[in-house]
Amino acid sequence: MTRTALLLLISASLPWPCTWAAENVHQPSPLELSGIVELQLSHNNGLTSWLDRGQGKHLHGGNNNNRIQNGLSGLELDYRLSHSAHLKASVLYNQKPGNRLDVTELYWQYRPLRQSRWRPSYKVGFFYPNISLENRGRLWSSPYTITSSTINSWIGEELRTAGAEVHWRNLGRQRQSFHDFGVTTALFGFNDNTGSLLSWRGWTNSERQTGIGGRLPLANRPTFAPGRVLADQTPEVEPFIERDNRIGYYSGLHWNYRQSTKAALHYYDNNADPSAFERGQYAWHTRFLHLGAQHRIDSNWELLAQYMRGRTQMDNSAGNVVYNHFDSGYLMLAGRWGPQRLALRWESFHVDDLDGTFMDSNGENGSSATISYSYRVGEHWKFTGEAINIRSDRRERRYSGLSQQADETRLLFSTRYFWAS
Amino acid sequence: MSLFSRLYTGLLLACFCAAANASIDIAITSKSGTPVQLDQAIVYAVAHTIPTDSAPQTEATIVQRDLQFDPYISVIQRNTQVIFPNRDNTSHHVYSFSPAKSFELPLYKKQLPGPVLFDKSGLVVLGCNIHDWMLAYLLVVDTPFFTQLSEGNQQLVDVPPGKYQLHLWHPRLHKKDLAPVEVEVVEGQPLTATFKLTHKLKSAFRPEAPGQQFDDDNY
Repeated sequence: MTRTALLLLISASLPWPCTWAAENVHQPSPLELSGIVELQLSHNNGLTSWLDRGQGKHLHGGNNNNRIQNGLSGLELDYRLSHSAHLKASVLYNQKPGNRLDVTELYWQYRPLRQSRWRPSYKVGFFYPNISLENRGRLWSSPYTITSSTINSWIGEELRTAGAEVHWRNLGRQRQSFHDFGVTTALFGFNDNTGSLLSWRGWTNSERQTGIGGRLPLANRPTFAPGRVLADQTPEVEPFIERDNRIGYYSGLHWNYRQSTKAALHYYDNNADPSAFERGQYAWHTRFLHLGAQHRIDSNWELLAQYMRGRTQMDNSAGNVVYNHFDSGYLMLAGRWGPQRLALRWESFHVDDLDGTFMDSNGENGSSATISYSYRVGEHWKFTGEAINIRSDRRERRYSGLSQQADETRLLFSTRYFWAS
Repeated sequence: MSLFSRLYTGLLLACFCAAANASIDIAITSKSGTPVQLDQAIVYAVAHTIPTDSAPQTEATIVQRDLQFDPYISVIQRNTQVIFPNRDNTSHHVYSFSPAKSFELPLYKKQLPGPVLFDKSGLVVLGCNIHDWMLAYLLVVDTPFFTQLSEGNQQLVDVPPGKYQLHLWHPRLHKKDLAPVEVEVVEGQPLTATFKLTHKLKSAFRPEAPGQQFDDDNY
């Protein structure tokens, strides 16, 4: 249904700006389209992927080698309503699971021209909170690496603002200062399930983004068996659902010095009622603190770091079922020389299982390292070679008769074609 | 102003130019007397006697390139039209809240919109509502006698004889150092005007663009 509607929307809008542009050569079309088509060839050394309900961390498991697969492919639409107001949408093609077109963002953005000391801008709809330092490209892509850090992979999978955000910026130029400040605050719903993947799968590095109505598979757990504590849970996660009609919020502070040093602090609380349950999905009360910093060392090198620490809770009629503390942090050194980019990223992640639910261990300790080299040819093509190694220790793997520890490597070669109208 | 008087003024100015125009050497010194180099500083002379409200003949250009305005500082005579070509592969939304000219100009990708007329003298501070760091200063003056200093140019040339108020302007100058100096241009006599700064220069304030090195790739 969503897919059909989107295809109609895209096809209906495609010929229209072209004819318009032909008649009014000097009038730019109000619709800007851009797109990415990415194909990957990967070699994986690890367990069966979590996307195939396995215990593996990568998107593709060890049995899924040397095949050409879709990477990040989709369309971004930017329809200009006025000088200051835009309607934006991103549609991605997700090969797994289920070959679907996913609307990953759909929102109205208003950035009025104001002389005030605190200049506001607004977003209403379904969009990413401004947390990731990596994913600043079109379609929330990262120019640094193919796979995102564990923090941003989780945001791509399970976190979105379905609501309204206001960002106020205080520009240094008005004070003859190099320091810009920003304050963000948002109210949202439809994010009651966030935290479930972190608990039942753990952290991972991935480039996958979930869209409206998206569902992600879960590996079978002993507690899902009939008669057990989570027998009513369907074996999948629907991140963007509303279960308790409670409004969540986040707030952020931003600092930017000379466009070369940035820092941000966020507090997020989805304010979900952890005991709410409907149609096989529980609400998870998830909150976290996030810190991000970026520094441009010189004209070639920059350093990025993000750290997140939070907790998530899910209850059922029997009482508390899941209560976890989680944290993850990465440090990335990224270099650029004309068309070439090199990124080195180290990360460390944990989940502490603090509930007493029998046979439902969510504890995890792990680290990952990524090395990525890309070469851009002209405006349209980018070729990337990337290696991601994830080492993780999850007690849960024992339930499937596997070793608790896993050392998994994904080698991938990617070709991205980028196009913008 | 009628066409006749415009022609008359032009003729008058042309006569002056042909006859005995002189150059003024500009010197800027600190309080202690050491020379100060102020690149792109504007010097302009407002005459006491000669009518200087002739309509300018040319258009000026302020380009948007690499997510910055170019030039950063510029000077035009009142009633000059300025065009704002967008050479970037992204949209800009140019604005000014300055009393001399308050306007907004949306500039879509690689577009060349019509010129903007600056019909009041004063300082116009330009910004872009999409790229907050973009900043440029446009000084609109009510005289045809102006120049911008550089290492190779420390002179205001072609000034007809007469009495003038000579102004110096740069964003780094303290407010109290913006007072004009009185000069008299006399045919055949070399003239040096000295601006003695009483305050320290403000720190060089120009927010940088994120830089092509990092931000021109969007995928």
